This record gives sequence, C-alpha cells and structure tokens, in this order.
Amino acid sequence: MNDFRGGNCKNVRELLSSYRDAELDSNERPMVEAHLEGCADCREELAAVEAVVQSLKRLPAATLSKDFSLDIESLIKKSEAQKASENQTTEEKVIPLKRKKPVMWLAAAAAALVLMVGAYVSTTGGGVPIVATGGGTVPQDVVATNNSAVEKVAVSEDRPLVADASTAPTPLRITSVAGTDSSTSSDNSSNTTASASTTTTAVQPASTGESTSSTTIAAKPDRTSTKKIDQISAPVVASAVKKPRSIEVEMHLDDLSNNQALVAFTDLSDDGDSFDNLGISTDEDGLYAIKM
Amino acid sequence: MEVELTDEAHVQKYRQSKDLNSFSILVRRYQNRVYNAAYRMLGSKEEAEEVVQDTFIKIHQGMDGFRSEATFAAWVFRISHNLCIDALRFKKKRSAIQLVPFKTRSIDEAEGGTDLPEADDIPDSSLEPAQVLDVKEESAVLEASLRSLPESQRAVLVLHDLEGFQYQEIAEIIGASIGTVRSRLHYGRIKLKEILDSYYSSQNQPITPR
Repeated sequence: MNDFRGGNCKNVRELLSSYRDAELDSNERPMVEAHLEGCADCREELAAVEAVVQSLKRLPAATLSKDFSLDIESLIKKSEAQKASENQTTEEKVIPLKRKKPVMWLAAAAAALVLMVGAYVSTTGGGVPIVATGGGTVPQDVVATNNSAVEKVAVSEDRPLVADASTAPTPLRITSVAGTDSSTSSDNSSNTTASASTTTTAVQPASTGESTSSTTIAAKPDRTSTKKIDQISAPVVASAVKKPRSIEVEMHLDDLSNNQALVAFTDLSDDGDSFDNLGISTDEDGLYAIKM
Repeated sequence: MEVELTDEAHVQKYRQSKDLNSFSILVRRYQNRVYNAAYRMLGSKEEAEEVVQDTFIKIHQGMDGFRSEATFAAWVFRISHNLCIDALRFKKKRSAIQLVPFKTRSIDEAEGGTDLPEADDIPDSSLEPAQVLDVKEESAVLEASLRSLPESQRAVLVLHDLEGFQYQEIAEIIGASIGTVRSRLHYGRIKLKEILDSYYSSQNQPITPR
C-alpha cells in the first residue's frame, strides 16, 4: 500500500464514507485530504462511494396508499380496545391456585410408607418405645397385646398423651418403627407433642433388642396396668378395639439424634375426624407429622 | 405568515391539550418517511404499512414518555426500526419452517395436486415476482441489491442515504455506537457497489457516476 502523508490506503479507505458525509473529526479530515491528494486509487474509491450514494438518492420514495392521519382517532381507539381485550384475556387465563381437598391417595400412600418402613425396620431390629394410653388428662395404663398375649403397659405421667381413649375411646392402631435409641424426648409444649414427650418420659423405654414381631396395645378404659412399656418389644402396634377406627403412628428414630424422633400420624378412618376426637388437629391432607 | 411549529412543540402541545390534531400533524409529517424506510427494509408494501400503523400507535402510547434529549424524528425511527427488525425475524422464522415438497408433482397431480410450492419454484433471492420482471431498471436493480445486504448494513444505508439522518441520530435509532454506524455505512456502500458492479458487468453496463 502506498503511504502518503497522514496514513496508508487501508486506514484511509475505512474513513472515505465518513469523509464524504462530513462526519470526520478535525484530526481525521486533514489526514484523509492529504492522502487523497497523492493517491489515485483512494480517489477512485471515493468516487465509487459517491456513485453508490447518488444511486440510492435517486431511488424513488415509496409512498403510502392511504393517509393514516385521517383516521388516527379510530386507529387509536381500536388499539386501545384491543389492548383492553388482551388484558382481559390475560386475566381470564390466570387460574387461581386452589389447595386441594384432602385426598385419600395421599393418606393411603402415607400409610403404605409407614407400613413399609415399619416392616423394614422390624426386620432389622431395634427397640422402640410406643405408648398408647386410655387416660384422659391423666395418662392411664395401657393393655398391650402381642399376638394373642396381652401385655399391660404402665404409664404414670399426668400430662396429655398421644392417644386419649377416655375422652374419645377411639380404637387406635399404632405402628412403631424401631430405633436403637431408647430415650426420646421432646421440648414441644403442644398437646400432641407434649403427649409424646409424656409417653417417652413416663415409660423410660429401654432398648429391647431384636424383634420382628408386632405388639398390639389396646387402650382400656378400666385403666388397669400390668406391664411397663419399656418391656415391650418394638415395633409396636397399639389399637383400641371399641370403634372401627384406626390411626397409624410412625416413630422412626434411625436417622435422628438421640433426643429426637419423627412421628407421623395417618388417619385411616373414613370420616377423617379421628384426630379431632383425640384432640389432635390434622392438616387438609389428613397427615400430621411432628418432630419431637 | 404563521410559523410552523417544530415536532417537539407539537408533542408538548398534545401533552397539554390531548388534542389529536397536534398528533395528526406529526403523523402527516412522518408517515411517508417511515413507510419508505420500512419498505426498503422489508420489501413488502403490506408489511411496511403495518409498521407505519404500529409505529404511530406506539408513539401515541408513549407520548408522555418522550424525552427531548433525542429528536422526535429519531424517536419515531427508533420505534419503526425495531418494528422492522421484529418483522424480519418473524419472516425468517416463518420461512425456516416452510414445508417444501421435492419433485412430487406427478404424484400430487394424480391425487389432486397440492397448494405447497415446490423447491424449484422458490426464487433464490427475496425478490417479488414483479421485481424480478423489472430487474433491468436501475431502481429495481438497486432495490434488489439493497435488499441483499445484511440488514444491519441495509438499515444504516436507508437511514443515512435515503432518510438523511446524521451518524449520531442513527446511533440512537439503532442503539449502537457512532463507530459502528460509520463502519456499517462504509462497508455497506462498498458491498452494494460490488453487487451492482457484478450485475452491470454481467450486462456489460458497469455502474458509473452520473
């Protein structure tokens, strides 16, 4: 490339359009002019650029077939109506989220999970304290049955229990998942959790070793007590027998620390108000889980 | 003699009075310029008219938001430019999914034919049939050549060489730097010259400045 005063051809050519359009600054313009004086190639390039620009300027302007200014009012009203319609359509498309009513499949799934975990843990061993009492505000003895044998569980706490069979003698079926920790406790003060705490505190369960059998605990209104719960092997199923209602309670201790247990209640009855009768409130799905 | 109000004065007047006459004056001033630029960008009269209509609807909706840092003209063309870009992208998407049967005429004719065009029927360029017929005319050649440029170069050529905007205004309209405008404008012109030279050399009519 030729190098004339102020710059080479490559640099100058990039500026030729701007030079032609008078869009160069005060430093660039003299440099380009100086180069053009001594460079025929760049002058030719500038002439070609000018020819293209002139060709474009000769293009006939396209003109509208109608005058939008004449009906601009109707056009604006139409667009506003369309916009309002679109907004309304958008609002109609919004479907409000509704919380589902209690679904039976969820309760069934929870029950199945309880049973599966219970079965698994019961085959792997571990004693778990389970309490169901027939007392009202005063915890009562519980009769526990293991297969055909009846075991009586003594509970001597004065606080509300998990399953209160005296005020609501609802039959209970409690499935417990065995854990290796024998001392569970809770700091919660609600009725439900307090009862669980009471249960644990009252029974003072001890590790009962390997067990693959289920124990049924029957809450008896006569409040007789023949056996302390810490003598019960886990998993334990406690059920009251007077009404065809059942609630499953799972206590899973495997993954929790020494002083914690996870308890899940599943209302298996048809009317769904078993927990209310027991003084335990449930959510809409009929499932109540407490960490204690 | 009554002094003609500036664009910005009409904008101010409309804001205060909401008198559509002031807005109509602005529409009259710009509708053909917007239409011409949109037509050069899109190559379709119908689409260009839609751009004009949508441009002034958007301007009306945004009259209260117009700031006088930019000229009213640059604001109008920024809106129309964006609408043109949207239209071009929509066309690209639509053409990308066009169903094109290959050499199925004999089968289709036996079965009653098809409305779909065949691959051989589709022209290589975006020229409309009427434009292909008029391709010998200089303006038609130039239109076709302009349309074959990349849209980024085509836009600055239209805005500068057809609509007369300065580099700074074009930078505001297309949302780029002045250096980008300068570069696109120059290389767009050079490319357009090459296309025209190529056409006229094949016709033994090299382009010359008049």
